[in-house]
Amino acid sequence: MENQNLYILLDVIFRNGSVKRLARKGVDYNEIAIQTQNAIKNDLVSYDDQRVILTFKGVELLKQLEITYKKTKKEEWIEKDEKNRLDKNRREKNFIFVPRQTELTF
Amino acid sequence: MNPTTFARLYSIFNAKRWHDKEMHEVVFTNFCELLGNLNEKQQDLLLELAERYTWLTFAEYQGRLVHIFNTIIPEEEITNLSKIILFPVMKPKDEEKTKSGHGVLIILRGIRPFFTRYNHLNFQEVETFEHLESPFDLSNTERIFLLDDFLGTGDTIRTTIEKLLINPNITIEKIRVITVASHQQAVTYMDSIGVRYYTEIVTRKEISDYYTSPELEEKTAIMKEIEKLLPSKKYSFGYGLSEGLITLYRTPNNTFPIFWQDYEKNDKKYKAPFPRY
Repeated sequence: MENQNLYILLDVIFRNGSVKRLARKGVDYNEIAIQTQNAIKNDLVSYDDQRVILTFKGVELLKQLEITYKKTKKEEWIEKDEKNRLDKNRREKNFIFVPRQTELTF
Repeated sequence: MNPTTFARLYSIFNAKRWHDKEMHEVVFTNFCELLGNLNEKQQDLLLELAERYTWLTFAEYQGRLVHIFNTIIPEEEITNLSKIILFPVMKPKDEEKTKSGHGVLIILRGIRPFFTRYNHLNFQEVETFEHLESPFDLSNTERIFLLDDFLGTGDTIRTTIEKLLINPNITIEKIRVITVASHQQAVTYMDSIGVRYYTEIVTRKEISDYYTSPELEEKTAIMKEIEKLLPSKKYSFGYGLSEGLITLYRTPNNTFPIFWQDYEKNDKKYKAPFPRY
């Protein structure tokens, strides 16, 4: 697993976030499972049937990887919602756009 | 889905050795997608159900059938027999189709020469009802074995048996039902008419028969919420409200549909863990 993806995996575990974050980056769920197992073997993560958490070693590695991979500029971590952008000819003055409720996705 | 839920799912796959099965990667991915589309209570219920879920591949039928024929069927049942007629469970209107019972028939064709307990008798495959209509007769040493991989509500086995019994020469004592798995509803029917059956697995209603009040009401309500993701309520809680948790070479529609029916969330379509189509 690339270091950047390992960083995301550790960060997701640290924050108890969603593993979808990795899936959205194109990492297959089966690969995420294998890498989680590797992280457990390497004593970065512990799983005691109650909770998956980072070990001390895992937290240390996360801090280290954070220096390189944490996105601090908002342009990097906020993605433009291109699919909901209005096309040019609908952006003229006085154009009022009322979205259909069923078409809103977040 | 948080990492703990993800790890729980992976542990279930490991404990059940599902990672050894063909297509486990697709099933695991679809399962993850499904859990990711549910809230925590819903995830908990699906994981509980997954722990009690049975997944048998077509390759596993052989071992199960060998066990039924060599171990489960008692010696006294076969010692005095001269012939066994093998017939797939099916409705008369489905005679032209290939049903799951035909699959079992084919598997048996390959493995029955290895059944040493049956060396003294003949097997005969029959695939049409017409062949078993009067004047067809069965001697006291002949039996009809009805074959299928799974019996759900019992509708199909009832139709098959009723059709056979139109012939006065065939009696319920000369019929046996052999299945890899049977749902409790079908078992209850077979008990009620007194037909002998041999099966490896008996499944039950996995919410109604498993939980007691107040958990029962709570889990039922959660499943109803989960089923709102499905395009229709046609198979709500499984065909005939069977509440099944089983996948054979194909998942029967008696299984909770969230496990086999494609669903939609936020205008995006998703495949079920064990898709039927």
